[in-house]
Amino acid sequence: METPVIRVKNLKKYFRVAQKGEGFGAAVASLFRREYREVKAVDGIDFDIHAGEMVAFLGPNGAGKTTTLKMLSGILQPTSGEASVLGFNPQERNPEFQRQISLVMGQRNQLWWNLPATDTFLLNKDIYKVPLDQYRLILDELVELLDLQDVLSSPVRKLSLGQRMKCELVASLLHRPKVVFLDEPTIGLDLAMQKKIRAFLKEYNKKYNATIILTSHYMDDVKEVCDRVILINHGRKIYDDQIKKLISEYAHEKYLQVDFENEVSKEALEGIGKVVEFGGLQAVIAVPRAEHAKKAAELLTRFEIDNIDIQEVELEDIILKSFADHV
Amino acid sequence: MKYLRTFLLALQVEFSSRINIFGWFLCSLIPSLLLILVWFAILGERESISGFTKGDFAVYYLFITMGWYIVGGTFGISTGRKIKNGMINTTLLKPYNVVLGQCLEEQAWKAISFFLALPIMVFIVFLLRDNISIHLSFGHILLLIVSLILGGINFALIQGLVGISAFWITEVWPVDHLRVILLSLFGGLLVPLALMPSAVRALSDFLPFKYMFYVPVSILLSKNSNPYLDAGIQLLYIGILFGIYTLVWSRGIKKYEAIGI
Repeated sequence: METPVIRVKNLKKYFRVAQKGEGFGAAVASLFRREYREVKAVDGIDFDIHAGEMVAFLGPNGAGKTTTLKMLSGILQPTSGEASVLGFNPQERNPEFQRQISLVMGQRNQLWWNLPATDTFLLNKDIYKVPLDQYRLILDELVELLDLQDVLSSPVRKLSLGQRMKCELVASLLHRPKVVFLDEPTIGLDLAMQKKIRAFLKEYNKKYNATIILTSHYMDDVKEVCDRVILINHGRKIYDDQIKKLISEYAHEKYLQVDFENEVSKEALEGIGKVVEFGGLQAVIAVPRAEHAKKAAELLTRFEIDNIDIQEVELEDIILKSFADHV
Repeated sequence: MKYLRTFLLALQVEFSSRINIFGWFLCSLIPSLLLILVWFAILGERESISGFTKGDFAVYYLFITMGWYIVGGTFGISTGRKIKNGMINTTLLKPYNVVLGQCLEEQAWKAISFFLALPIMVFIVFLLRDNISIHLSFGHILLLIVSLILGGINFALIQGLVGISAFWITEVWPVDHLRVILLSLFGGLLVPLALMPSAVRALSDFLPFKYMFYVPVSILLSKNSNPYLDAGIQLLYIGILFGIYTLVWSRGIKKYEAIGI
């Protein structure tokens, strides 16, 4: 079997955080005696990721997602455990390793603020030792894919958030990294821009067989970009499998969204399934996944129906359910 | 090449803030001019104090003002701030030395400041021409240039150490302030070391501070008894400070918490 490009074994990162009570007295007391609390940001996680996989790394705030990405990219040293990326130990920060990875951070900027983005691109070309002809080729391709022709000569400070994010992606991908870590790449962007970036990431993965690990609070990023999901909570892995499998495991129901010709009573609908939303002429009914077709047919025979939609449970709900099960 | 590119980018940024640079230069010139006037007043009718004539004082302080743009800098503070805020995260990912990058960025505004200040300095030297007399051989000029470069590297390593102290402490400015005090006292930045009490002079021989500004300016004034030995000690301190820097960095990076993202 193919060797994984990322291998993580019992990886841990504990932080020592100074504690201070409320008010001025506690501040004075802390000058003489400071207490510390150990925070287990990542607490023994294991996983393997193979070349070309697109993996979503999900969890609530403070779950340990970003800390894991930082350890895998070599920014942060683990407390214990093993991590290997492309055969390298990230904490050694080997230049050969650094030339093959990238970390795109939605809330951190690498572009030079007062200069056009092309100047940062040139700097990255030198840092990653990309030959000039190859640089031109990659830049042209990325600029076209992200539709950036018109903004390249404006200072970064004059660009919109979406334009800046697209320039960040170009700066991070100029050296064609084999492994791309993305931390909230679409945060703060409008829907159209989010869609463009998702399409771009899929295209990049397909074209270069790049491994993509993504954290995001937008489930559309996860659904549209990733095939596999790793759920993490309190620094521990609680789920790791294909998104489809997660849905089938946790989504035991489907939703029937119905528009009626005439008003119906809620009680009449309760015989079909669990009424989730009700408005007289409209209703959403949760029915067992295996019986949804039968239940839809029953609705059609028993009521005068204007329209009926069969909907999957939202990924957000599935993930929340999964977290709830593991607490 | 990547560090040259960093310098060129920083230079482009600085072109847009020439007025600020000029303002900073005037601010740094005033203390030096004041010190020259103070020493002129102290000397009065006397020929010299501890071998320093009016001309020597003028050259000493004017050189320190201009030499600061070659040897000096403040990148320790900006490096410390970036470490504290996690702003080095994006750079740590790359095959690129974070601290050297900061140092190179700073050279841009120092270079522009130097050239903006040069005409004013020439004018001041012209005004004080009756007091100033410098006689340097070609060998001395060469040695002066080498000594300035070595002094600059020593200073940069100290600045680097100030910056990476942020791996342990949240604010690096107290450390930098201590550096300024030590440099003023043992590095001759405030008063030539020759005029300092013998205990200070003796102690300064065992510290790196006098090898940053004082040794080059002494070469310019032909006041070193053995300038080649001084240059050799500058080189030795580079080795020692580099060793300490490498050790501190390797410990610090293990402790780095990469705050924010």
